[in-house]
Amino acid sequence: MEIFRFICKRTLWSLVALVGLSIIIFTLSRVVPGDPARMALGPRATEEAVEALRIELKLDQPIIYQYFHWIASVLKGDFGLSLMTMRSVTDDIKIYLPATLELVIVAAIIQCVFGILLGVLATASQGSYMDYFLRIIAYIGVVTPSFVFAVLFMLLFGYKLPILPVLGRTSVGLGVQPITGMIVVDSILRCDFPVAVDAFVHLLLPATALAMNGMAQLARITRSSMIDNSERDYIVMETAQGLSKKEIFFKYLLRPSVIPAVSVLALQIGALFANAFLVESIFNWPGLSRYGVEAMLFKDLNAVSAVICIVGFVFIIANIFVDILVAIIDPRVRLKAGE
Amino acid sequence: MSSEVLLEVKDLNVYYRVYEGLMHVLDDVSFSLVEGERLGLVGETGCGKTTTFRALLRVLDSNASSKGDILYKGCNVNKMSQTELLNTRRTEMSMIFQDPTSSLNPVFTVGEQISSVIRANLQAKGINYSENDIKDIALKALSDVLLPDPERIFDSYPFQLSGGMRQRICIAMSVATERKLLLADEPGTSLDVTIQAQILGLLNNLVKTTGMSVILATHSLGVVRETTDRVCIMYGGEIVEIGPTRSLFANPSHPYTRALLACVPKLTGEGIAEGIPGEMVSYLNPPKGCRFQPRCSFCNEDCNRTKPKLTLYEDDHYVACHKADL
Repeated sequence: MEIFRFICKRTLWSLVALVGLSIIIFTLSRVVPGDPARMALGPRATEEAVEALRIELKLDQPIIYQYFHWIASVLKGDFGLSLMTMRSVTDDIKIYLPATLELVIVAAIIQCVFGILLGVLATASQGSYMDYFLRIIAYIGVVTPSFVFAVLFMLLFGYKLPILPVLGRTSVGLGVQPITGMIVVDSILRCDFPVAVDAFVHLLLPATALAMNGMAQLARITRSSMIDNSERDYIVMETAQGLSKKEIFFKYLLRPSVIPAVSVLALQIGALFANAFLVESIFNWPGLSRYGVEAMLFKDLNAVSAVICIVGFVFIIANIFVDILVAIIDPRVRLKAGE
Repeated sequence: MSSEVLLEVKDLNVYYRVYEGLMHVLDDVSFSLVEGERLGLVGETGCGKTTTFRALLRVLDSNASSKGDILYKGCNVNKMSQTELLNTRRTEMSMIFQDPTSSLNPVFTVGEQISSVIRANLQAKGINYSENDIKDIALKALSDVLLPDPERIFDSYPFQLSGGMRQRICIAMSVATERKLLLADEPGTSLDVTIQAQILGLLNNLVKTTGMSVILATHSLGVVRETTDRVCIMYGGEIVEIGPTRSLFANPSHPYTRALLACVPKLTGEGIAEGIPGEMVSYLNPPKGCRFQPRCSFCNEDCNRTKPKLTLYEDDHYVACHKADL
């Protein structure tokens, strides 16, 4: 199976990337100026107490030793103690990661499906008012930051036309015993469908606000690559052979044209995590991005390294997933990588 | 050979709108073809052979416009409805594209692509079929063009095959189902000589057994001499000379045709041919008179002012030159 070989190869390379990422994260977190122990205990703490914490955090050991010590505990799932919350970082992440993951996954699906759909629609109506309208919308979508969309949506759907909830992950009083931490998934697993619907409705606005940039970008890429490909020899040949317009458009033109859009999706998943911070703040979404920024401001080394590590890990997983998707669509990637 | 007229092209003009202006590529191209006839279309690169073919099937690029009458079995292709056009492409005419590396869709298997073409043809004819029938027709077409191991090629992607194989797949696609008129745009250019001879032999056989007509665009005069009944010499988007192959080779009367024949390397090795001095005509701003006049050594004032019309030179042999009697 060529696709299986492709996945194995791709995963092995990702491991190399992960090791590199861990080195960079660790180094950066140690070279930033300031004393984490002092930050944690505050200016009034005694010198002895600070020194004790430094030893406990292994900050007095050589840097190489610190790295391997850190890696060993990370592999055991232990990111150490958060200096900000004074709880285990792993426990904090268990609470915050699923919320962000849920948001980012839904946003990625929205931008992929609707971005490509709008691109196809614009191509099909090329030159008409529909096309111009969609292109203007796409320009606006590309240049407007996602927090602006978040505020706009909040005004529109929470104030002027209150049809969708704008705050939190569920309505007050609703909830579900966590399994994965993602409320929609958990409530479906526990067959609690009213909660699933409620949680999903809560997801719609923040996820759409987050997806807008990428969606506009994907629509533009899809449209331009379809128009570009439509004058290729193979499309002319298929037209000359009498294939129907519908078959050419939806089969022979669409498939080679979505490849660039899907490849770009991998990069955009990174941007989704970055933009999630402001969107989470506006929609009062208890997510990892917000936690991460607060940890940075507090100089909470363990929490910062953990957040970057987790985001990097998710990003790499997402990239593998997108690469597999591209390989399924494009035989050239699938077959040449196997050689 | 029946003498029913299959295709009649009258005053075909094709323009391309480009950034610099309007290119007037085909200029009053007129010719006709009877059933079962093999017509050669000869001229240097850029003289409008491919444009002529694409105009016949109405598959010109979006920046091109075509004027004139293309009467196929009495119906004007330029005025056909979408359904008529689709049926004509599916059952009547088919074209072999010149560049095999870009004429196949890179993300679909050869089998999927050739099956689509066969399916469209069978649908247009109203024949009931199963997917197995289609595969059988496809495999037969692939082995007809001398491709080894058609089963494997059916399941391959174009990038896994060589240029020559892809060329033969393009040919197989065009001849997999029966057509009345085949437009072959340099079908042998990227094949080696032995395969080229076999492919041309194959096309010749098809003409004999099915009564199909062929227009063969090429710049190989040898091929034309061997495989066609009539020849059409094109220069700069115009037909400069047209006539029965034998008569035209025996008696080339347009200065361009003569120069072209002089360019063929001789087996006796009497030095290298001189080529034709000068440059191809600029379609943005073509000369008012004869388009070949800037490169012609016989030209005079007349050639500069007025465009020569195709006039009878000898039996069925026409030439567009003021100086044809020279």
